[in-house]
Amino acid sequence: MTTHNKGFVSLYISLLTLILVFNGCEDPGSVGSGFINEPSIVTDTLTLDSTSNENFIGYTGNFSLFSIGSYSDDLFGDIGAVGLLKPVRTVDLADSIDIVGDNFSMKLEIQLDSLNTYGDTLSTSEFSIYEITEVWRGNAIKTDSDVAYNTASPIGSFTIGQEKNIIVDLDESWKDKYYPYFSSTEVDADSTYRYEFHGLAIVPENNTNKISFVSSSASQFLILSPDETDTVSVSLNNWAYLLDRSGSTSAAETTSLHTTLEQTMEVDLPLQTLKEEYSNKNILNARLLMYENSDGLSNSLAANHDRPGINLFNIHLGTEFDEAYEYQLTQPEFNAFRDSVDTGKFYSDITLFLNNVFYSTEDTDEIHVGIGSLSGVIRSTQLYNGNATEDFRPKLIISYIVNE
Amino acid sequence: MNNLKLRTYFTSIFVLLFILSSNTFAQSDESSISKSGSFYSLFGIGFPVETNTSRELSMGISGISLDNSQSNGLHNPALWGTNAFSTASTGFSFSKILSKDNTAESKNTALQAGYLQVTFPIYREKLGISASMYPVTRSNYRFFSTSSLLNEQNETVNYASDAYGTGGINKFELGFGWSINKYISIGYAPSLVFLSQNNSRELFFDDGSFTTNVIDSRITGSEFSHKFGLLTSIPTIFSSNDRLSFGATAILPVEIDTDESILSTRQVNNLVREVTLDDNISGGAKLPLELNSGFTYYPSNFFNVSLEGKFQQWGDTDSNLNTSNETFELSDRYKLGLGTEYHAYRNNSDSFFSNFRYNAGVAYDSGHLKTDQENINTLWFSAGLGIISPFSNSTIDLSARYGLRGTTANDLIQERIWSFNISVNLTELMFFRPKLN
Repeated sequence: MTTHNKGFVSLYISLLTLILVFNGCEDPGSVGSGFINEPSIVTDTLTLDSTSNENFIGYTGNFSLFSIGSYSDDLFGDIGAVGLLKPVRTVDLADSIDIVGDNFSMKLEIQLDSLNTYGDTLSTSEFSIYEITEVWRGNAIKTDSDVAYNTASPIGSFTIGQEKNIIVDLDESWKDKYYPYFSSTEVDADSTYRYEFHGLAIVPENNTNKISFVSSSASQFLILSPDETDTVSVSLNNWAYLLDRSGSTSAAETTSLHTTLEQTMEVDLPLQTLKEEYSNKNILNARLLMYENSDGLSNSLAANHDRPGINLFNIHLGTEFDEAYEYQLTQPEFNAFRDSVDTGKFYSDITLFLNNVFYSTEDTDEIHVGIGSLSGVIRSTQLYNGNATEDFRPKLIISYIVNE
Repeated sequence: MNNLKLRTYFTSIFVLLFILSSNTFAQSDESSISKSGSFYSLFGIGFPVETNTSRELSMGISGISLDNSQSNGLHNPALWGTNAFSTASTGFSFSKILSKDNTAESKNTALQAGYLQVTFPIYREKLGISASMYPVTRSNYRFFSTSSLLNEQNETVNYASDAYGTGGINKFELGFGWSINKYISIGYAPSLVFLSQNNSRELFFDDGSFTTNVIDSRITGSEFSHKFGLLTSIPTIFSSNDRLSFGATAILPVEIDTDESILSTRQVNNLVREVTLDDNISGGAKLPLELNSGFTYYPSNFFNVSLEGKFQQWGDTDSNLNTSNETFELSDRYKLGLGTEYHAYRNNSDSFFSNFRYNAGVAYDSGHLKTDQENINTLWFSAGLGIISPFSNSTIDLSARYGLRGTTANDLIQERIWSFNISVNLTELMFFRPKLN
């Protein structure tokens, strides 16, 4: 390489090194930021006056829990819940178990939900167990369903005090009816069982003043050997509860909400106004605020009485399909959560909904507020609606950025 | 021939790496690295850009009087009439801007393409045309800060703000130069001026109920501009082989009707997309009258010295864009540059250092912004190197500049600027020979 070329190589290497050295990442820092407009948040609160009550017939079967008992709630009426349950047909009896033919007895083990009781928590409730006399299916049982049972011949009875696990002896006559099905090897045994064997109804007695919630997975039928040394568990095939509610009172300014959807609240949104006034704003979020009738709820409960709590609502945007199914069992578009500080308020962030309204084709102007439930626990609450005083009506709170 | 191959090889690698480096930064996220420059580009339609070849930058001048028939120049259309060769040139710049005020410091870097120009002599050294594209102003500020505000429940919400600007005014220019005789040349260059400027801000909150907020203001507009140039050359002033060239240009003011759109990023139908919050906000921006004049004295074939001045009547312009600020106002801008060149490569020496052209200069720029107390002026010191192809008139010019802009007095901002530029000027060897002659 000539001296000239060596010189050029050195020059290029030096220049490349210079570029690399100065190509460091930048550190913009805050210098100059004082000269740009500081952002600030403007919050507009829109009162939503237009609300209405809606009524649907909710589902009560095949949830993780089912209700049994009765309670007279000053706010939400006289509530009766009759539990329905049916054992599976196929029972796996191991050879080691000392059960031959129908030489066994049956019991029902009831496991109650340890968290929730609705009503007089210190009371003792009494129940009778009857044989159901007609076909029913857990998934089809709704709040208006009626399933007949034979009250002439109780299969068993029990009481619920403070305990959470109860084992009830079942009458041998019912065991004798069940035995042919679970021991059947006929090809149509399942079908026959489905249509001919109907299970049991757990019916509260008149003096019962609380509703308990039975775990469908932890409750079971038991098959016991004559000396009760061997036990075989028989899980539930179908379960549900029949709901009877009467005398529910609701003032004009409040709307009662139930997990069983007997009442929900529809809130109408002023979409056109929102589009005109806010589609060009730099929105940070939009929240729906609803007020619970906290005083009414607490004042209507006697000492030692309790209602299963509610910490969130489901908000749906409407549906063309089975409204009860959609509102109760499907994932809502939004949830409203109880404020951790001001516990009478429920907030729902509906920013995404407004984005769809402003910048897409969403034109739903009504939202449906309810308490969906997949648990089977009867829960109720009251919200102030559009007839309430200004302070307690539902609100839409829109926060947006402006540059000062 | 080996020398030529080696030099071409290394030159190509160098240019390629430089461009690749530029592309790398261009592909990076807009708000991340190496996209920002001067704080003062925040205001109006951005900060005026010195779009010059590295040779001109290293001399601190605009080059309107730098009479050289072997290379081109952007700013004086009259020069194009004196061209002997077809040329194509482009330039890149890399700037590191160290800013500080009374409380903080920041470091910004900007790597960006400068200009692109081709010239053709229709009649050799008589009539030439030029087509070029180059920036006139640039908005490339970026601030990152943290602060807090109050939500509707009067709770403090902390946030981090990343504000940045991109774009500015560009020109697409077509023009011609006519050498009336060996003493006088004139030129005219109409151009399409188009404004495309983005001002963005991203806010990051520590409150989970607020998602990241992104807002973009996009300003567009276009108008036609007119530039006129004059070049005179006076030989044998003090000796038999010296000469003096005088150049002057005038660019008429341009008023641009602007449209502004406010956009943001929103989650719509489960997709994050850009939405328009406001559209077709009408406004106006103005580029000022610009006058340049200067002379270059050539005492010999090896040495020349230039003195050039620029006047831009920014004080007569205003814009109703939302980038104005009460602290700063536009003011007339004056720039004076003094530079010199030494053409060592004409020595025919075997020394390595005789392969180059050396440049140096100093410039004072009063700036186009002022406050009540201060002008935001800039003092530039510059030096450069020209690598001349021994087999053609193609050159690679390198320049390094150091600038001091603004002040920390009165809570203002001082910037120390390191700027490196490279321009490549390809003439007939790598382009094509003029055939009309």
